[in-house]
Amino acid sequence: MTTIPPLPRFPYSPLVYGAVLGIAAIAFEFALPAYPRFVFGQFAILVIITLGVNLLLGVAGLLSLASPAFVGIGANLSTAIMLRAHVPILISIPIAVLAGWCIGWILGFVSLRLAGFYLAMVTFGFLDVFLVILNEGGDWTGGGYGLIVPMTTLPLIGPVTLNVVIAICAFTAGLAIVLVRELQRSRIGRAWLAIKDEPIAAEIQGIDVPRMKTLAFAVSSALATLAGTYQALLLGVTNPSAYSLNVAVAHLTYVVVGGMTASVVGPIVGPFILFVIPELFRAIGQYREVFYGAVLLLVLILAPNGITGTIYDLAKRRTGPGQ
Amino acid sequence: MTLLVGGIAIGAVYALVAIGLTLIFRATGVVNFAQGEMLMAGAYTYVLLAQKGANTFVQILGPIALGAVIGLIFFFVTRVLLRRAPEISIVIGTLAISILMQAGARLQFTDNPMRAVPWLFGDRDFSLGGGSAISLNSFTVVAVTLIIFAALYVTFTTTTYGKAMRAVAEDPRRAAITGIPVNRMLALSWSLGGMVAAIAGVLLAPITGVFPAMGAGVLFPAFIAAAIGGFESVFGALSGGIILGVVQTYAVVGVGGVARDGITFALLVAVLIWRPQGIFSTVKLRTH
Repeated sequence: MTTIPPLPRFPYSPLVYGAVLGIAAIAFEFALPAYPRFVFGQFAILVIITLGVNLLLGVAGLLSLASPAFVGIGANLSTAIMLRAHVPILISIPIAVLAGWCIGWILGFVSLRLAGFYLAMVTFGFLDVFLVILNEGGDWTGGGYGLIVPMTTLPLIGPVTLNVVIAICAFTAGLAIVLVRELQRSRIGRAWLAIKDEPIAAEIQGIDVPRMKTLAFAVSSALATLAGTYQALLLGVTNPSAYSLNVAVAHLTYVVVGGMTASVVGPIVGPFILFVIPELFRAIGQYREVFYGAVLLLVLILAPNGITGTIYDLAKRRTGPGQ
Repeated sequence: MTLLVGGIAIGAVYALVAIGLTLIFRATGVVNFAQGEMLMAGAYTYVLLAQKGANTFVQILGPIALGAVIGLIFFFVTRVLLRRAPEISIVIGTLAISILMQAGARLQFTDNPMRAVPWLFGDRDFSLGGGSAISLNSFTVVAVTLIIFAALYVTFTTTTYGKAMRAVAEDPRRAAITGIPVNRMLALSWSLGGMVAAIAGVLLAPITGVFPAMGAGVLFPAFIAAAIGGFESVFGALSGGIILGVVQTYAVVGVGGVARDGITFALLVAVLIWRPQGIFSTVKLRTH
């Protein structure tokens, strides 16, 4: 199920391809009218988050509900640093991402003792405690309303307007797609796949299972934190309701619909079907939830292994079992 | 005393939902995200039948029958439509149905809560002397929960059907070899889960009112209750629910509403670290 079809080697560094994809995404942004452009920015952020969640659930096989907590950590920490210490976003974002990496790494130790549903419950506990801290944090977190993100400037680019934020999101998403793909094909990515499918065999092979599991948590959390810092810039506020359990479930849903495979197509297709399409049909208003539920159920019935998983299955059937 | 009874009554509702979750999970391996919406459907049926002026008997049997039918629909969706899907897709499938049910209820009835009257004693209170009083409805809730628990316990330990259901839960393939109709038993488990949820809805309706998200609010405490109980025995779910209800009630009164969730999770984490397989479970948990 998790076999990767052989692909030609890259003649250039993946950074080059990532940059090209990122620039293409920016070009696409400016071809869009105002409102779809905003949706595109949100979509880019969701792609970054879903890449991280897929890396954890689809590649390493670890079910976590803490992803919105890291989005919230990114949003609140970078905004709080900007407001309190008056540093530019070029410093506040890396600090937030580093913090997200470390907190994710520590949370990863839970996965050494618990698995499956129980891991999900404890990570949900982490999310819930985080939300209590946000709501009770007073001036530091803005309480139930959240912080208002200040206007900032970037060197060379100037003031960070909405278009600039969307461009940053789009570029980062493009870069992240290529880099995460590279990571999932590396020794580390194959170790994660081994842990997911055959944990005991993986250990016998000499894979440092605890280190790999905590690393998966750290990378996934860092991606969510990075997306969170962007989300704060895009939305302008850090409202705690953007980091609720429903959001965690939505992230999981994107991953499951995308296919839970070591493919980066899934984390693009999942948010596209479940976020962009319902967003484009905004006119249906009150029927939006019904539409969302129906689309979700329909995708699951038509493609039980998610979009990419089912495509792989079909491809395998066509080439025969010998492949 | 009022507090303790109140806590036990809330815990009993958690326990009923947790029992439904456990029944379904044990038999089918599916964590049912729509258990709360099954409860909500039962509660709406109860209120609507009461408004139509149906007699008490119909008011109570109607939701239970509907719960059984909804359970069968879930059996159909998870076992027939999603038969080739991995477990997590089936779980997300129940989530999709729960979204559909909640959105449907919102379109039909709006978000405004509907008032429901408790069916056995009305709104009367029972005086304990010394100025404290207990809503008699709390007693109804606890008593009904205990009766359901007893009925399930007797069914699972003495009747052929109950033993067959346990056998299917234990090992579906070997159960099939011995001639047990596995699918029929799974359908039965789903509809039992639906019926228990509907009863929980009837009991919860007078306490919180009836609104589309009423079930979603109970679902997560019920998950925790089921996890405390080990997710595999009806007794575990019952005890987990009541422990959780009492602890939450005392936490709210003693420390304040903010502490409720924190203490709930402290309890869960403590249980998971101390006994990851649940307090009342004898099975060793797989760690991967």
